[in-house]
Amino acid sequence: MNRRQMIAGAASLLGAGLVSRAGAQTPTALDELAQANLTPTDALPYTPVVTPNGRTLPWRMRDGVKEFHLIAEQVDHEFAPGTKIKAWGYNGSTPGPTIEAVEGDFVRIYVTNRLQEPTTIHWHGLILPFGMDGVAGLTQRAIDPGETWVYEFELKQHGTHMYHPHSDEMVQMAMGMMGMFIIHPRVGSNPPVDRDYALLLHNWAVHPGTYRPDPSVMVDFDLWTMNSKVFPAIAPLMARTGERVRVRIGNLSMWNHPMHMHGVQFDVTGSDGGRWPRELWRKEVTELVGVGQTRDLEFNAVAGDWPLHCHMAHHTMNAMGHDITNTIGVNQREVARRIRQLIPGYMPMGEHGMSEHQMHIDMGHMQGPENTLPMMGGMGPFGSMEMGGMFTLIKVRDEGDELDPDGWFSIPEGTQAYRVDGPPEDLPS
Amino acid sequence: MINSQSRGYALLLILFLAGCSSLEPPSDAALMPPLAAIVAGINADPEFIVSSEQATEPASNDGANVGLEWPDPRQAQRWAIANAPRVSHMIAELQSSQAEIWNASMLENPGFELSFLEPEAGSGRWQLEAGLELGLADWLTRSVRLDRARAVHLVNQLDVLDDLTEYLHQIRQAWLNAVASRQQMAVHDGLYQTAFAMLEFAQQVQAAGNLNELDFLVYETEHARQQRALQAARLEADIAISELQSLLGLMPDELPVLPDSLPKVPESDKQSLMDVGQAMNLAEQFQPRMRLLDEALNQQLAAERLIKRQVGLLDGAVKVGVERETNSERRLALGGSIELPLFDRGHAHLADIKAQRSSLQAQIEQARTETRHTISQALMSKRSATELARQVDAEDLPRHQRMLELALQEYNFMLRDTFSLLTLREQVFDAQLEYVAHTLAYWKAESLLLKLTGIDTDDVAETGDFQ
Repeated sequence: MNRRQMIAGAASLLGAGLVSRAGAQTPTALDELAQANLTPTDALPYTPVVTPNGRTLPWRMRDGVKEFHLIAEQVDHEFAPGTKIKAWGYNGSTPGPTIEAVEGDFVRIYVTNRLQEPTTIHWHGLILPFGMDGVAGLTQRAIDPGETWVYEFELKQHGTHMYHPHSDEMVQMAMGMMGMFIIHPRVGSNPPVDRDYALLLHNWAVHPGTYRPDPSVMVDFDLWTMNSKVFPAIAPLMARTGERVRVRIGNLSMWNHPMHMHGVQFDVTGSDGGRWPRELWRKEVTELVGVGQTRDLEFNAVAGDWPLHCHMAHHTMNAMGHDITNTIGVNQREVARRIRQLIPGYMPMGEHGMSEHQMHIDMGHMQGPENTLPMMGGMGPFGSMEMGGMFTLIKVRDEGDELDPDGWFSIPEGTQAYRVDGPPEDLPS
Repeated sequence: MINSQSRGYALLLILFLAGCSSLEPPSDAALMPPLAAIVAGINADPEFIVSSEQATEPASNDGANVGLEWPDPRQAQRWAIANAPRVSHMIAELQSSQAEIWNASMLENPGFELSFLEPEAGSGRWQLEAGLELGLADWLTRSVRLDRARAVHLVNQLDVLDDLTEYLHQIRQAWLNAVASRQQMAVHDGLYQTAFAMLEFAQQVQAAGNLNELDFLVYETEHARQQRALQAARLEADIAISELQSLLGLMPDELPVLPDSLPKVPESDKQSLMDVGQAMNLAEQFQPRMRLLDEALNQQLAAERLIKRQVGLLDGAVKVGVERETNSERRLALGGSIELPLFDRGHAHLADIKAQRSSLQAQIEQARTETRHTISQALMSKRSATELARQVDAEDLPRHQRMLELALQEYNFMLRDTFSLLTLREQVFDAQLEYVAHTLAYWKAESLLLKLTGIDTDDVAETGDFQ
């Protein structure tokens, strides 16, 4: 499945009935829920959210209640080709499927625990009865392995929200248990959005050569993800020129992320507090999404392949060493010979910067550790992009041009930087 | 009458006495097997017994000395047997011992007496008396004396064999020390090169403005420490070579050509499987020191028998004389004498021998106990060293190498830096040093066992003509 199919597949599930993975343990309503057919419908009062590299959780209506089923379980996850882990997530993925509903809905969410330890789900930012808040030991007994519990509440708000465990929270979140919970307003947005994307930010400590996240790391994370994927494996956000696009960003990582968008000044239109009144919108090119916060960024799409990324530069890198010697400006030509005698295969790097790293990696003569991605990668139409982590592209095409996630924007003639032999002599500098 | 008869007696006497004076060493003086083989091996091809000048001429390439190429300790031992002054000394001692047994086979020389007496009346011929006196004790104790001389010769040989065994052991140990110290020096050189690379890299990093003085000094200190360690290792290697040269009688410029590393610890080793009892059986059969003490006891018994024989025989002598009177008449004279055992009945000698026997018996017990304990310790050391060397060689070193490979992969992905890589390289060298130490311990324990069981000398002897 390519990225285009993935996105199309995710979209086809929107508003549909039920997910086939929703396995119940007894032939009850859960079983029925699991075996229900998925029936796409056009009768949605909102533009469905697309979760790049993810999907939306199916649901069904039963007696006026919208029913969902989340299954907490271990999942096999790939951040990008070359790095796989045993993560914990929901319904076979991390992040879990995006829950999508409408303000005023009554929801009933079955939660089955297939982990080996107790869990709960906290509905982050939702206004609900105390007993439904999902805090282990405080609002309920934790859900033991094998048990299924039900959370029922009315959605009294709209906005961009998240869900995550509140039982052994540090570990379970570090292992990947989280998801987006989007509540559309009962009354449509104004202006309406044509495309609505959800990105959940996270960080991971997957040490080189290991296959399970280390939950005890506080600072030195290896991988910075959008929907648990790293660049260049993060699916681009697609749009047509002039379309109104909303990007909902949630942050359940351990760092704040100044999310920067190229090409447009976006409006910050909402958060987990819901859609803000118009007079509170503000124009930005970078919006800080704090830990535990969400932000909605809206803009009118402009043709191009525009980056969207965290502006903390090391968050747009994949696994990299910390506390290593700074080799910028270090002439190693002589000493490298001596070191090679001691360590055959040693290659000096970093005298003039780190971009040579991707060149070496792309040439294939530098073997890295098992199950570890190179620090930077990604090939654009004009060469190495030297990026990783929380970086993706918003690919906007004019009407009539193919909306191909793998394709590159054709730059109109006369609108691209070009090379000259040198600056004019009389140009001050 | 006397003329023809006495001439006949005289002739018989002369023939008899000539017969008693042995011209060749008796067959009893033959050497015991290992020594005989060694002496025969040295003499087998006189051309091989090179002078030290010939043996130590520098080779045309790489400064190696012809004849001094010793890939294993056995070669050095063989060279020593053929060339070392200490072995020449031991062989001379053997020859001396052989002369002793020859000497013991001989009889005391007869006494000859001739006297002239002036005629009484001033006329006539001078009276002439000629006599021959021969002690009887030598005749009657010859077999006992020979028994004792054989016993002494055996003890002497074992003494030489003991010296030779110790000498060969010292050579083996010195060879091991020399090779091990060279091997260790090479590893220290690697450690130094690593520290030097670290320092050089640190200098470049500091020159680029990326390393403060405090951090830089850490690498400078490590470099200095490794430089001192290398210097100490070089000194140790030089001393080890010097000790080997000294043992073999070589001059300082006569450098032996040794391998770069000790032989690996063998996978299976019968001696490691041997228990103390089996090793003691070998020691009692072959160890020169224990055999020496046993034979010294026999020697004392032979000495006791000789003294008892000498005392019991009432040492005496027979005399034969011819007298010519002044009137030219000739007369034959016969006589004899004995010593009366009134004062010295050999009892003091016997008491001394008894005390010597008691002393030897105590020494034998002590030697057995010491040998048993030393064998036990050597076997324990050998087994332990075998296991440790195997662990380091088969597990630690490959593990360290693997760590280095993985670290290089992390370095390639900018997850680890150059200092960290070089630190891991140091750990590989450290493991190599540990391996050399365990290997040396193994071979030293093996060497000690070879000495204690006495089979080293036999093995050397079996190698033939030392070419």
